[in-house]
Amino acid sequence: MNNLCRAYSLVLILILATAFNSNTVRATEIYAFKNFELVLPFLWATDVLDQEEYADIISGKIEHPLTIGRAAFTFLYSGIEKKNKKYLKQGIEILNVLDNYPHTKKSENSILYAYPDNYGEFEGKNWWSGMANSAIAVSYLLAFEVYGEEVHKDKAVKAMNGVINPISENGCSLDLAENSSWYLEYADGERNDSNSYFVHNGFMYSLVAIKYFEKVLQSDFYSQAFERGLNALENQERDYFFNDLKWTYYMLNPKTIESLHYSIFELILLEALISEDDRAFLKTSLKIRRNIIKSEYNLYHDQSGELFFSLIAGPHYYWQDLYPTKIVVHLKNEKTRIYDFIPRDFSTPIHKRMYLDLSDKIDVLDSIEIFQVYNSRKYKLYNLMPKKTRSKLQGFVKSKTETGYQGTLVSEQEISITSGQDLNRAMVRFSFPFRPDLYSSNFFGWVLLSDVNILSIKIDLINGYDESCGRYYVPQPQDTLNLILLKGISFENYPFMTSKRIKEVQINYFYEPFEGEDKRIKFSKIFVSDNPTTLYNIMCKKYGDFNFEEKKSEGNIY
Amino acid sequence: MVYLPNLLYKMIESNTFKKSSGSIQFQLAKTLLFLVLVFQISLSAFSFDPHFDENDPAILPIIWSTNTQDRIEFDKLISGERTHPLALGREAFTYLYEGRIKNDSDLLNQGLEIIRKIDAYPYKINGKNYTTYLYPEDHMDFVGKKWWSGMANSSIALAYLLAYDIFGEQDFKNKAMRSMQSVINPVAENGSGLQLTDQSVWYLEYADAKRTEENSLFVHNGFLYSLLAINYFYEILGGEIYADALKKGVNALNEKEESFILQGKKWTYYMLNPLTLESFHYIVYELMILDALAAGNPDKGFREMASERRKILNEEYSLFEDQEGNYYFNMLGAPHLYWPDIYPTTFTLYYPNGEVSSIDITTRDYTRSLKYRLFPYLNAAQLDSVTLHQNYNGHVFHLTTLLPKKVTANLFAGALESDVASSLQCRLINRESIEIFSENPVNRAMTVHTLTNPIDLYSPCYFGWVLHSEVEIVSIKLDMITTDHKSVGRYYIPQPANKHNVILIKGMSFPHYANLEEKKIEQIQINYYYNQFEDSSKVIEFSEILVSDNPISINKLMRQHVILFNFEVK
Repeated sequence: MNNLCRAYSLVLILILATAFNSNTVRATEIYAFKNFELVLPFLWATDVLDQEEYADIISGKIEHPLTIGRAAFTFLYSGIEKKNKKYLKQGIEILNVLDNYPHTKKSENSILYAYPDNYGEFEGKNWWSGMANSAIAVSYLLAFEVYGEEVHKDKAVKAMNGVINPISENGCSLDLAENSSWYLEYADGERNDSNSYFVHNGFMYSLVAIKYFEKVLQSDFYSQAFERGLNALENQERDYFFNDLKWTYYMLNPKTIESLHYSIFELILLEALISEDDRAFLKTSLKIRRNIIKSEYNLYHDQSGELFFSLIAGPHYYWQDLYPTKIVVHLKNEKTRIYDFIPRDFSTPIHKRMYLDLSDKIDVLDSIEIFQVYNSRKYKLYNLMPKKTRSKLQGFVKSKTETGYQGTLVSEQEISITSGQDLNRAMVRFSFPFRPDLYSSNFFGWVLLSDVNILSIKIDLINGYDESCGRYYVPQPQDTLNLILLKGISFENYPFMTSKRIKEVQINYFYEPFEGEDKRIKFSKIFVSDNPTTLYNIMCKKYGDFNFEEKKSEGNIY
Repeated sequence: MVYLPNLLYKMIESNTFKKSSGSIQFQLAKTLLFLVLVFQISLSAFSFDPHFDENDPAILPIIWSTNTQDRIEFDKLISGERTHPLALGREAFTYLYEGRIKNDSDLLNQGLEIIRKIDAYPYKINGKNYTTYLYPEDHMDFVGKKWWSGMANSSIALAYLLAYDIFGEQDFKNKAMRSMQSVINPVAENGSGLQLTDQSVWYLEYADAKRTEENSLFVHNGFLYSLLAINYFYEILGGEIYADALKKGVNALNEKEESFILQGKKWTYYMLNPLTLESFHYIVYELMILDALAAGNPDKGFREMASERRKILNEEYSLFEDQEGNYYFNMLGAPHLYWPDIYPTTFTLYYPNGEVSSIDITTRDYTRSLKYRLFPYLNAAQLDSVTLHQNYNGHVFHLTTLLPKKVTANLFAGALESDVASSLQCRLINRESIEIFSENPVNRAMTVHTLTNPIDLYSPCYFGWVLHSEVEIVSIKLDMITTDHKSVGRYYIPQPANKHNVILIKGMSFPHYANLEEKKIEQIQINYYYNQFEDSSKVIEFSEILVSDNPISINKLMRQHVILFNFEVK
């Protein structure tokens, strides 16, 4: 290359750099880059590497306002973050899709982006979401921060008005009291105090978005909307916890037990709020929510020598609901080891993807850090230290808790079933001569071997005062020894039962129709355990002796 | 002429007392209404307490008074030095319970050791389906090895039941049921059940074969403990026997509960025969049991009973706010001002901005002066509420939550605020004295205060006087005579010689005062008992009786003037 070529190249590079800088020159002034914690919720669960989703959005195949909004934000943000013009361009293209979104409801000052499909009692094209509108609003606002074009600001403001306006005025806001507003994730013209879902994470998402608007546009309008939301949250926050703080609720109407991934997303949202507003109740809620998760997903050190971290715990053992997890193990010699787990990599045996065995590091382990890693984003869940225990309890507990599981059906019982019998339902009742507290136990369950596929299982727990609670369990295949594992807190009504001592368990097996002779369903007695190590032993040391059915869905992050 | 604080005296003289009483009631009603509204609002507010990991309320009464760190108690039980069925039962339970929740085999083994000790307990009656564990020593009119306790048998039953839950040995379950059967059986069959009606049975804490409705003590907390144990048995084992025992116990409680409440809901009784005022720590304990029953039984009555008792407690132990916005809480209060009987307490202060802070007070930390251990310094610009937790042996109990109670101008018009404070300038105002001689019959000196304007001493916060004696006073007996010539009496704790001692008494602490229809007192007789002395004569000096309706005054008195006088505490 001659000197002239070099000079041209240099000029070209300078021109390109200048051209890019003309887009990113404002980056240092972009508020989204001043406080990463604030915008992490907008970036969580999306990735610019997902070009398939991008293509589906552009082609109109995806008509999901939340997905489109958060994709636009992520592409714009990543474009600046990675200095990548392609992503910026794609972000703007997604915003163009929103500009022409076919299912909008417009008023003078707001635009609602309606969902085209029915959802529960919500009628397609006639319902909308404060969360989705928030995602769209922050995307337009970020575009305005990047390019400074008034048209983006106008769209941003109108989308956010769609969140803040009352439902009756083309918005999502429900006034709960004076100066107290809830921004509904699921909204239509019929919503009121009594019939709204009050989904926690959706509301929090809108609150974070409002705070972002307040910071960028410096308007009292958003400060006031934020205060109203925060007042509503302060008044309602306690209702999202079990009375005994054993777990949390996803929404209030009906009270729905929170899936783990939502519990984690709530932490991310709370940290986003606290990064801008350190009100005590927010910090208290964060601390308790984190401790609740920690109490289930912990490091266990048993006298028998096992030291392990369990990624399988409440509320649903069959649903591996942690995000991909990175565990950094700190040793006393200041060295570290890093382990990656993908809980929903179903091609890996469950005991290899749900337990980190640290038994060989008992003497050298200092602490471990648990990170949730989703797409390109990382969130630190918490630190754990090994708890020293003098426990020798294993020997005592074994006789009571493991009687049900020896790889065969212990105390086997069976029922004979006929096709068409009672709508293909077979019921088994267990009476306990000594009534266990299944609510506080670490887990309970039984072993099942059926000649037919079990399509569903309904379990009802009944106490001495004939109060009951029930839940369903995932299908179980025929002709395999299936292990059923349950946790008391996963029964919606259990926390409200006066006595947690269970007199009787009723199990209904629903099975598919069949032809020919009678079939059999065989089952063991119910076993109960207080000890997480027992489950570890079953899962890791008895692996292969039984089948443990999991819920295979990937789950919806929002 | 009896000295009464000026303002109070004038009010009585001018017959304005009744009017202002009405006014006080009106103010209180308004305050109450306000508090109810505030409480309803604050309940819906987000108010986690980050400082506490409260114990399971259902188990707390069983483990409350025990401590697995107390090796001395354990050794005494194992060596047989201590043969006390209640202690054996509750200690066994606690070791087993803690052993299980902590996964600690040492504790479990210790629990088993105590269980084996109960197995070999020498003083017991084995019937066909029951075992009654006897107390070896005399207690009041109960003869050693011939009396037993429903409470003790309940604690042993619970310990065996837990042992069965953990170890699965059928023998433990059998022994649990035998011990519980003894609680339920009638006293004539070596049980603790005293039949009140066809459908109501009281489970006696102190029982022998001679007990009847007339001579039984009717100790409230002991009965509640047995009821809780029966409830556990029903919850865990089910069955008609326990269901029936529970139902009859609840009926008995409903029949008797009113008798345990002082007139005007001023306080509660520990037992009915003889009528004995409840110490503070028993109030706490009974609330704990009622909370446990409410947690494990759908009968709303338990919750309501606990709520009623908390109201009584909150009236006497209030969070006061004066007109300047200062906050006060007295660890001294009902029933005996000289006995700070509250467990080590954590005060959690909730502020309107959502902030939370806490203060720990140990009333029996004798290394600290009275004002530090009895009067928490609630330095706050504004408080939403204060929550009190009781701490004992590592256990934590949520006692109550208090909302600030504004002391109104009328209530503030009480007397001791100004009068006692001024009288305590180490001078006895309107001092009177009596000369006493060692050869005096039974070494007793009596003073008589006649109130020309009789006054109801049951309702005011407290009354008292200042005493300066040249001899140590070993006991004081007070008798109050009403305008219809009925009398009520009580004793007071010893007072040292040559100090300005403040005597403070609550009217309700006279056991039978609550039951008198006429509460106006026209005369107070005070008997001072002293030891013999060698000199000729000595002098006891005393002020006139002071009465106060101001709850804050005692706080100010103790915090600001404590160096000027002596206040004896038990």
